[in-house]
Amino acid sequence: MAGFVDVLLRGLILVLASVALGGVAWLRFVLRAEPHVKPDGPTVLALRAVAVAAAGAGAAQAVVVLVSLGALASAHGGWPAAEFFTTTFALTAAARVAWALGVAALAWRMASRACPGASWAALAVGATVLVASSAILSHAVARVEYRAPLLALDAAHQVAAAVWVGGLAHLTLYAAWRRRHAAVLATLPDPVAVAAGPLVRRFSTLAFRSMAGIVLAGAALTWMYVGEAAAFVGTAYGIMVLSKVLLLIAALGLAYANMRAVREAAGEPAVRLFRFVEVELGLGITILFAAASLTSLPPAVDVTIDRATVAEVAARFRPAPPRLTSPPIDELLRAADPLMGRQVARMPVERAWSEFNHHWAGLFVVAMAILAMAERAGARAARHWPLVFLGMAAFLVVRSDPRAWPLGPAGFWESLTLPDVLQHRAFVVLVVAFAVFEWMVRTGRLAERPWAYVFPLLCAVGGGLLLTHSHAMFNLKDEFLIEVTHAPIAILGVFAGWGRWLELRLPEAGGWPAWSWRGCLAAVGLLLLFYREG
Amino acid sequence: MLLGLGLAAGLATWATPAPAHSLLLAATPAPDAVVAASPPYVSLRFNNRVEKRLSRVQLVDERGRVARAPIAGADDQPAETLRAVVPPLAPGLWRVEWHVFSTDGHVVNGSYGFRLAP
Repeated sequence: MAGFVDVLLRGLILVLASVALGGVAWLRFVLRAEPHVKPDGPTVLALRAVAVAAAGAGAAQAVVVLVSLGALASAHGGWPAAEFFTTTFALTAAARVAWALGVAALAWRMASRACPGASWAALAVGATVLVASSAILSHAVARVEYRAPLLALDAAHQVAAAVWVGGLAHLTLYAAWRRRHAAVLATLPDPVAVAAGPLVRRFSTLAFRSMAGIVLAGAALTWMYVGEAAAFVGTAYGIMVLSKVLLLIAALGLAYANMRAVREAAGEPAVRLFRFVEVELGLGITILFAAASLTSLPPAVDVTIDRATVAEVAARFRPAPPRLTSPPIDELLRAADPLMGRQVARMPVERAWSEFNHHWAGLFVVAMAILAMAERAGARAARHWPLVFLGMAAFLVVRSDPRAWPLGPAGFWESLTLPDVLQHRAFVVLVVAFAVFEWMVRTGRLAERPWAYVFPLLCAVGGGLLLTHSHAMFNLKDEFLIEVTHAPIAILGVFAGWGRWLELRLPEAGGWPAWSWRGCLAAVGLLLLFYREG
Repeated sequence: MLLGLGLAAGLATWATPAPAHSLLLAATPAPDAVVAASPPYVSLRFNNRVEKRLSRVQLVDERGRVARAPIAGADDQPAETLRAVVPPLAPGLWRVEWHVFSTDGHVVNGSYGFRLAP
């Protein structure tokens, strides 16, 4: 669990540090904030966002230090604090905490008064160092060879990504600010001075230069960490890199559509641009969490023994009749000790149990997708499709933890004392709540705004979590062969979430967002239905 | 929604996430080896640099008895190699258990077995 928490925290730090540095770039290159001038509304907003994000990054970094120290304490049977704080990791992380808080304090102060150029320069250097120093906590610092070039490439990659994702966050904030102040802006005597069009065009240029930096540095890092084409399909690291690339291509597609729109239109940007920016931001954040997940995996170039072959990967996607009958629970409990025991190898009965779970879950999801499509096609009764989730939740309660209540020997209350069971039950409660929630929205029992946004956001967050969830049960090859099916499910989930988001936020886009997320849902169901563990 | 799908896909496998960052590339004695005499040390080489003062190695026999193996000569070995001094061992099956703190801040555990011939 500490590993997963560590990945989530590292992802959060990447996002927050990006908002800090992206904000500085936004202020300098897009808003063109000037020294010695009292900050106007958009400048104050951006500076305060930089301050809050930097403070958040510092706090999250402090928690990462504690999580690492806690993991060491668990392994050592005591708190090795003195030794811990002599390591490169702890010293760098502690320095980043202090540095981030310094950046936050400076940005907050600058939001309230006119500041000299030195303050602006200090903020730029501070935010850049905050992001670039993350490389000292990455794979690069632990490499045996080529440490210096890897550190430089990693820092460049992260700075470019921060300017892009952070800039998108600030563009979204700025759009919200304009909406809030639309009435006031309309009364101003000089509409050119407050027009959004020039800002968006400047941001478009900045974003594409950042993208170029991301791609160039990322390609070099990929070459050094992945090494060869076979590693893309044969290792967890490779598949995560491919996932990142796929998400980046989708974001690039949106960015390209926006770039064409702002270059072709001389006036104010259309609503569509800001909606695409929201989705691009969501994809960017997902990419940052995927990047954080990469830090917990060994680079593909190192995985030479446990690498899966293309044929083994292809076998996991080969359609076969689903397993709709379960092995008896007694047989499973006799053969395996899935919760309490030390897992050494996956037994056939365990695989059968797991495949049965996946295949029935797939049937539930396919049923939901068909009903959701029917609803879109005009079948009003099909709007109750979220209730199918209740059946899936009940199925998961019964099946996901065979040692626990109701199937296993552990009683109801005893089951809840097992961390894994508790975690699974908490997720089931969330699924039930979500099902009821979405059903109430679709049947008019809850207002569409803002409650309809819960579905796409949970979908996108869930997809991101699944992407960052690492399976390290037995060995790297098994880990990868499980993850290889989960990665496309996760990406489809992310796309489904943002498709639904566009359906809600951009009705003028027509039917394609509505059909795209339903298609993604159906594809997820089919992937689950054909899931194979062996 | 994907939280639910994540459940279906990920948690149904009873997966407990654990870091798998540092890879053991080579070991002496080798995994599954049969050795004729009690090895004076265990040497482990990883794919990345490890913080030796925060890394631990121990050996466990078939009955679960633990033999501590202190890390020796931290500065004498390459940054990615651990060398642990092993006390005299009795014949039988032994499991080498290690946990390392990699330079980029990941705590990673692992183990492998070897047999000491009578």
